[in-house]
Amino acid sequence: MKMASHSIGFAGAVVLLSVALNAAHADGDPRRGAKIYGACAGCHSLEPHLNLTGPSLSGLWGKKAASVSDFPRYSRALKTKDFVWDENTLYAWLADPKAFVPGTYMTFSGIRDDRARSDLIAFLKIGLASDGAKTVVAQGLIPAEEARGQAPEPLKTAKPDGRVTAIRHCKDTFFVTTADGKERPFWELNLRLKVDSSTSGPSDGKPVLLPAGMQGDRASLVFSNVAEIGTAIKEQCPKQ
Amino acid sequence: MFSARRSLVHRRSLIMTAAALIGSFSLGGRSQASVQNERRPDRASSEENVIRALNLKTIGPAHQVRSIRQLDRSFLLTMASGKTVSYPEFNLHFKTDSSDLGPNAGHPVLLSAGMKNDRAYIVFSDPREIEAFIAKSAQLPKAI
Repeated sequence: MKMASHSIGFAGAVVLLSVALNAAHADGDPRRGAKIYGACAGCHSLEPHLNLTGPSLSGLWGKKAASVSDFPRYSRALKTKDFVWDENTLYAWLADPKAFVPGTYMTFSGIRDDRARSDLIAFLKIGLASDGAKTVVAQGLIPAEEARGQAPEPLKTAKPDGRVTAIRHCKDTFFVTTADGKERPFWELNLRLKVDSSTSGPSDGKPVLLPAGMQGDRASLVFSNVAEIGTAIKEQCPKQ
Repeated sequence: MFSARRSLVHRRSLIMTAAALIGSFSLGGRSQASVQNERRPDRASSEENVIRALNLKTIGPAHQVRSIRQLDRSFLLTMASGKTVSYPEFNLHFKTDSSDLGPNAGHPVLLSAGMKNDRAYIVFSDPREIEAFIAKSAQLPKAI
């Protein structure tokens, strides 16, 4: 009997706390939250199946933590936690992720300001719904590119000045020829060699050149797979 | 296309450039590098300035890459220190430094590239090493 009354008391306290927290979050402003969301977009997208450093946030509202099935980089700590994403869990998580889930891989240090956190949650309630990316863009909360986060641009349809037709390396210089017929030299330290094997990456055998600096002297060369780096780059110096 | 993307690149470059030096010293092993042979950069900010400031032939084991394996769309690296680290493929890029201060052949070096330690780049001495090193890593026992 005593146990039962304790249980009822605890359950009542949880309900009251939950009601109080929900009331505290209810006044969040999604427009202000959208501005704060920029901090999340460095690692997350709102597009379905578009996993970046962190998992896609699409449709996560009300879903269990660590439940994006095609995201392979969850920490063991998050995978073993049993909770769903809602106002209350996000309120605690966003305050201090490492305190809420010790051992999480998320490097974000948290938002201590209650008002800012409530604003962000108000935005996330829209963005994390199914079709959230379309909704937040349609409502003018964030631009479409921010909904994609830092996702690489689709590279299969690169323009001629980005479509690479030849790469040669001579001493400390890469010479990159593109489909517009131009050959550009890059000091080797100014050229990044990357792999994007996702659906938005380049087609097999068709690496893409992307600008990476303010002065046009730096770039990224994106390949569809690692093996291509070996086959596409020829060690070749012009005859003197 | 190059000029059209310039403004977006400009914004990202400012952030990434500021992050480069901070991040490069945050792998926790830079103090293990042989600092006697390092040159101090006059204006260390971008990746190339970071590379130029270091002697990658004598850098510490926390930066020396033993193996690079591909798993899904991630690279799993094993370092000479014994530590393993994983990066999504779009958070890791490769570079070459064929200069005297570049890494020894067959001994690529990992440097951090982001403020949060979640982005990095691996420097090889020659572009032909990249694919060969990764292919060779796939043949190694999983513990290495």
